[in-house]
Amino acid sequence: MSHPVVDAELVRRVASLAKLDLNDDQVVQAVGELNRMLDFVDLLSEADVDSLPPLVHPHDVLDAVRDDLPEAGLSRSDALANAARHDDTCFRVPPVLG
Amino acid sequence: MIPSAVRLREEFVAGERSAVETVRETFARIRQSEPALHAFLSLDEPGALAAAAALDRRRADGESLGSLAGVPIGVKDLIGVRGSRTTCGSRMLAEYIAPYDATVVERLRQADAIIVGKTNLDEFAMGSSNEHSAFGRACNPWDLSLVSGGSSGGSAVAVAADQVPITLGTDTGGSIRQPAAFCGIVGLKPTYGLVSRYGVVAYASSLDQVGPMGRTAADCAALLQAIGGPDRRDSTSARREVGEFSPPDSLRGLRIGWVPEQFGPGLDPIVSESVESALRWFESQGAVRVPVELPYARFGIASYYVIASSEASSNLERFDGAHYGFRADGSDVTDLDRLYRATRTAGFGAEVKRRILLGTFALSAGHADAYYGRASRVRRAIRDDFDRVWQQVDLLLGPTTPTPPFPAAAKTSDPLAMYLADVYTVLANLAGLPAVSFPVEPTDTRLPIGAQLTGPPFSDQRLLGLVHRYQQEHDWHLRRPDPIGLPAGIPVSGADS
Amino acid sequence: MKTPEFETIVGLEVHVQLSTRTKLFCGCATSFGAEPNTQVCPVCLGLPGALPVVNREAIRLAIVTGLALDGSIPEVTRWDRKNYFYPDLPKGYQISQLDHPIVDGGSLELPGDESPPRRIGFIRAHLEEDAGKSLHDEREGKADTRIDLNRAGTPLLEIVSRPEIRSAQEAKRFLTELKLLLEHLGVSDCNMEEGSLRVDANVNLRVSTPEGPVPTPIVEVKNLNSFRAVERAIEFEQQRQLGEFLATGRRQGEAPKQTRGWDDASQTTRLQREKEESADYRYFPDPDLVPIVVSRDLIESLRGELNRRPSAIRHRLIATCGLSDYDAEVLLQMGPAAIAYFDQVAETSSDPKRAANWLQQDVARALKERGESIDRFPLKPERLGELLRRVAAGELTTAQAKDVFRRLTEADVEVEGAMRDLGIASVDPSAIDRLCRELLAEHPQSVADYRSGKLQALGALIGAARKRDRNADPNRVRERLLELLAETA
Repeated sequence: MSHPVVDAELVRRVASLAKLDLNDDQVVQAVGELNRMLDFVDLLSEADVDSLPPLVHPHDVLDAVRDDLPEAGLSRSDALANAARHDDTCFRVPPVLG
Repeated sequence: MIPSAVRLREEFVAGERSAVETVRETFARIRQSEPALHAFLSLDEPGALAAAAALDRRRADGESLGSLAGVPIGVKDLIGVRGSRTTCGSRMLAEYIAPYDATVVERLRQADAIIVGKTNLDEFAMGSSNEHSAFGRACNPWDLSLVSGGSSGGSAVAVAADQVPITLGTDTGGSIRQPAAFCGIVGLKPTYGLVSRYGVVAYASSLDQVGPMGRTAADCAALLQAIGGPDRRDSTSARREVGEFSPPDSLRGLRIGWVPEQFGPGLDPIVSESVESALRWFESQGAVRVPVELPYARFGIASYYVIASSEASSNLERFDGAHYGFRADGSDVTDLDRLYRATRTAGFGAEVKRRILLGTFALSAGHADAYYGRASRVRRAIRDDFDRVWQQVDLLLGPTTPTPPFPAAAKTSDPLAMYLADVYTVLANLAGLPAVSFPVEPTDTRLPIGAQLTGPPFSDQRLLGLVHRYQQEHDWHLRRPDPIGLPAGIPVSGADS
Repeated sequence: MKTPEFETIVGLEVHVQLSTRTKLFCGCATSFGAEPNTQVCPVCLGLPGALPVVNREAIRLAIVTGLALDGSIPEVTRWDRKNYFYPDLPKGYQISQLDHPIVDGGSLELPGDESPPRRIGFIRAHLEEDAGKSLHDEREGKADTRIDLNRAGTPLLEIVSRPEIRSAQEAKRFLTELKLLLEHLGVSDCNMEEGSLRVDANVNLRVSTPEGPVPTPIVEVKNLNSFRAVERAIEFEQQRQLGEFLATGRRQGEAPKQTRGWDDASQTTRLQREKEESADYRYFPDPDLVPIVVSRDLIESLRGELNRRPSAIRHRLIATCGLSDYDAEVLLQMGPAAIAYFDQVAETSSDPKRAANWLQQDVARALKERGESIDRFPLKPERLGELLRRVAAGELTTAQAKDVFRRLTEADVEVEGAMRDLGIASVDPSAIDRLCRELLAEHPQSVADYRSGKLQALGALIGAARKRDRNADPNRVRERLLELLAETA
């Protein structure tokens, strides 16, 4: 396995998915870092693991469920307290499109 | 010198000291050393004094007292304490007040421990030197020019500098054990699922564990007992109690595995010699040393960084300025997308962004199978390796870190070099195993060196019991940085006592 | 130019809000209409450190649905994260199920006369959490968005049909039957105004051309707020897509997948977005949630609920209770509480047909007048059953029974008491019978007149009965006379 070419376009697309802005210098730096990291991660291609299922949880905990019983939540003022902008009842954000 | 947590509790229960007295002494010590160390991001003296006074009253009334009654403790600032700032070492949450207690904090309160403050860390627990804290690093009390290790650097420093006897850290790839090794204290990463993650801000959910840090294994055991056990609010919580702390009388016949590759190139000889000395001591006590293989261990760092970054990229999506935390509110922020971008771009530091980018890439369409998927398969191979090893030996002993504590700024420009500092620690996280770092005989430097014991799932108390045995015969863990908890010649500015 | 023939291909995605008391991953209430942001907690607000724990009841309801739709329930079901940024999604990801949904496959038979019966298949059904609500606020002159997270985390079951629906009418039939099923199983209240049932439609055409059938690009239509809207939107898309195909000739794969929104006011669909590069949701297994193992014992224990399937109820009402297809359908449409009410009335009265009639007419009318649902109706089914038993036994006339019925809806009294209140004496039906037989024997002329078409002769007979017994209820006498005349004709 050798990794795909990491270029400015790929870095910009990934940054956009992650909602991060990068200026041109940062893009150049990120291209270098990501390439280097993926060069290193290419090591994984040497591992003979195709027949193994992925491991998501370290242990086999299963069926952690709760009963359908209401529990006290947060008061509205506590819920809104950490918001940068809110009114008496709701969080407030700018519109989807300006 | 500060007594151990176990001792403090005994003295408090016996009426030999009051909780208020303990808290006053604690803050006096903190005021002395904190300006140089920066172990804490916030301190709550009034809150601690109020809790102590209430505890003193309860003792006077003859009420029952918890297992950590009267013991001051520092809590890593990744763990939510109701009504307190929980910054995660990030600008993003600089003003965030947690509206609820983490389960571990609830249990600390039930145990009557006294929370004195929130300890410093790399931003969102991403780092191995504490240099990625948005509020400045915690310094290594053995030499302020060296890093404390990370990400639970503040928690390690606070114990090493005698500010508090015990602290909580979190460990995703070594974040408890590596700073414990660098600062000369004991730090345990528990078995995955033994300690609840509820209320602990997630870095990589399948790897994160909260764990105890302290000067002695006995203190760590007491703290683990207080915070561990099943929690119905954490679906990944194991249905297992922590178990008793009962150190073995004899080490005869104990099968200690060691992985020869871990002692090969890449390990600083200074560390190698120190860990060897510990191995020799266990042998002298009748333990048997068995070489074992972990064929997939060499893929550990690569697998770890792909998985951890993938999970982190998702866990950190909630920090977008909409419902809590920092919001970039400039005049150019006229629509939602700009709000998200401006907030996340300004709110996150460089290392966090680096991992978000790697993780986002590793999960993105067309790449997820080759990166996240493959890393998760390698993870299973690593766990299978360990499963085989536990057929042969009772535990593994090896180095915690490849080098002694390194100077600040030595690795910040080379992320990959920094990642390799976790080469020995990530394996326990990937496999969900308990692992403890404890200070061993330093070789030709006065800096602390840590050795790491790793055991099968839920052998946490057993590992601490073995460290306890070691600590009964050695006093490396009792060494203090000179002369007042700080290296000589370090100016102690702002101290008022 | 002649309009080419085409076939319509429709697949529906139905989001159903499950009737749980609490949310999918936390203990917050799910009731509709609460003040904004008053049913929230660290988990559904997505606060740092909060963790989800699955609601057992949501699993149960999803399995019941899966079984009722003849789907299979895999032994292990898993959770995935669907990552995207939106302010009504506070975690930045939605917890859903990608590769291991709780229900695989299945199909639904549509009621009707076709032979073989028409069946629509399902691809899958999976659990996921709902988002909150964005409220657009223009009050202050600037277009700020206000966010209410009460709904965030509400359990949804997304049921995905195969693209086997062939017309707008069939889509409506399918949805009507699916809704009936979900209501009768108690899975959801399916209230579309409150958003407990939401439908997206994937629509395209297969147009006949000289080279064979050609598929047009698939369009996803959202914002379908009623079954009527689903029907109209499909009809609109048929014409629009045909027109576009004739104008451009573009077939599936040659144009990006469109998402269009239904606009009720203009009765048209409007372009919302074109997925040139399909959104990259970076699905991966949620590390905070462990897999759920669905035990075979649980599945077996839930099979008992399947007799509440509409198809099973229909069969029971028609085959066992002897109701007509029409009556069975009307009762089904009245909902599960009405069926339970009917069953009790039918049992107590031993007269299912009469029970069905009364339910459809008198009970339905009374409910409408009172603005009540049947589970709040003051007249308990046992009492109505008792009343109808007496009617069937001839103890009182239907007209009297209606008066008693009204009385029973107004006062908490037994049937006996209500009759006493109204001065209705319970009549011994054999006395009336005897009287009528005597009259017929004594008035052969009147009988002959009646048979020859002089219906007023019946009045003479009734008058004669009143002379003999002042208490004889004329209605009752008329009913019995008619019966006897019919018998002896």
